[in-house]
Amino acid sequence: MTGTRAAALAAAVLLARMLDVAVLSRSSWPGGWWTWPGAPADLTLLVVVAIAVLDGSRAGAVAGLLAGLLVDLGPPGSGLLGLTAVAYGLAGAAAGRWHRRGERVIVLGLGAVVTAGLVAGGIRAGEAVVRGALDIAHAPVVIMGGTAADVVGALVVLPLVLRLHRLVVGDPVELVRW
Amino acid sequence: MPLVVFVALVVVVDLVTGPGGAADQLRSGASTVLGPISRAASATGRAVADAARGFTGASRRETDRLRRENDALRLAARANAEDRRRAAELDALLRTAGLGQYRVVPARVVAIADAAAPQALATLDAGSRDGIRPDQTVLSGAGLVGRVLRVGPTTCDVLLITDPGFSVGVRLEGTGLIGVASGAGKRPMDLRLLDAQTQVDAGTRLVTLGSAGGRPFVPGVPVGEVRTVQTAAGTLARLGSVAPFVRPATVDLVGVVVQPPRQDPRDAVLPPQPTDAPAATPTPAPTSASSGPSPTLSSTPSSAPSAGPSAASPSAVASDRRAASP
Repeated sequence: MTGTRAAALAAAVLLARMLDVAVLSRSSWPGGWWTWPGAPADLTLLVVVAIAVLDGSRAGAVAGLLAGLLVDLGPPGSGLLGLTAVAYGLAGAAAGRWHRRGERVIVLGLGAVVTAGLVAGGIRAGEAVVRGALDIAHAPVVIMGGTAADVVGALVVLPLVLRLHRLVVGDPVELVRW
Repeated sequence: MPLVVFVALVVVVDLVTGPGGAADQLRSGASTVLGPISRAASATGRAVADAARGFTGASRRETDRLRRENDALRLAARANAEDRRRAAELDALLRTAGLGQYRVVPARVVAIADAAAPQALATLDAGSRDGIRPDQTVLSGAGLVGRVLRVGPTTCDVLLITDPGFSVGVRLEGTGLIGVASGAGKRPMDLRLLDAQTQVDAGTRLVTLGSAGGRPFVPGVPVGEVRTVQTAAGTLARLGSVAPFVRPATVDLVGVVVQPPRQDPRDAVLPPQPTDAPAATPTPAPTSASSGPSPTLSSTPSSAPSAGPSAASPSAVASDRRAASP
């Protein structure tokens, strides 16, 4: 992984996290029409998934661990320090199973998003249940709702990250297909 | 591999040290770097949202110049409406602070944990440079928002009232009965009343009881109103639920109490009951700061409202007189 590429992907992770906490998680959207039973789309996780789809499980796990540390350490913080890192790391590793060398298939990317959303959402919801923030009966709704929102968000985020990657690395033109 | 070891290490450190330990210091350190980025991101997001708010609906009909001019005017008008909303929020905040004689630092929410996050936290754009310290009360014009958990130089993290780890001693309006209210996620707050005899009606309002030295909670901040109360079999306490006055996910402008009142204002800072006679409770108009002598803002000229909603500098709203003298 070259320096520029790593820097670009790190910047994407940071930007995604800022959008998550400053924009997406506010429920006071204009008009107040945004009510979703689960969590809003987790853009940070989606960037991790994009990296995993590009480079495989190992890169996905490393990106997930680092992005999770950013979530844990940065404002406003998360629950147990390091648990989000574990959740995103595992999610990145799982999403990397959908990596196919040289192929950019949208269905594969969405499969990776669903896998990662269920893994990370499951771990985070598990912690919330342990803390008492979430009823165990309500947990599946939050996990599924969050994953569904992730899939919708992925339709925007995945192409953007792949495009950024191609811009930085200068890949030859590749076919993106279903 | 070293990364995995490091992550495992921080998990263990957090588990072992607990609140205020090395893990919190690590987070405070991180906020030195990430806080300003967060603030900038929030400001940008706000600008974009404002633009989008004025833009929707109008963008379809940009065919002629007059219409475009009209849109520009409409945009300005809507920006004014947004400014007015923020000014009203600040007025309400200052009124609460004035009635309770709190000294507050106004701040804005720049980041908030998403609905699936394990802890209900928000980040404010005021930090140790503005006089914020851990365990200070955070309130808005409507009532209690939370307490300060960690402080960085320019930002601080707030534990919100919806977090299950959040609990606050409360006093019932009128009877003065005390109890404990604690957060319960999306559900209304849980209430434990430490007295099983007194009759408590739904709709009774609660204020904070106050902690020793005013930290983490200053006394007299409105919390919410009782929804239900039931006596649990085999217990001496009564359990109930409380609808909080503040929905933390929607608050924008808040205040951090940096100096507690000299005397407990009891329930004097509650908004007046709708059915009360107007003379019984103080009802200062939102414009009281500018309309001559006001009992709540008498000792300090109204310098704070002119500072604007974005001011993060300490603006004292203190008074030597009690707000409500029946």
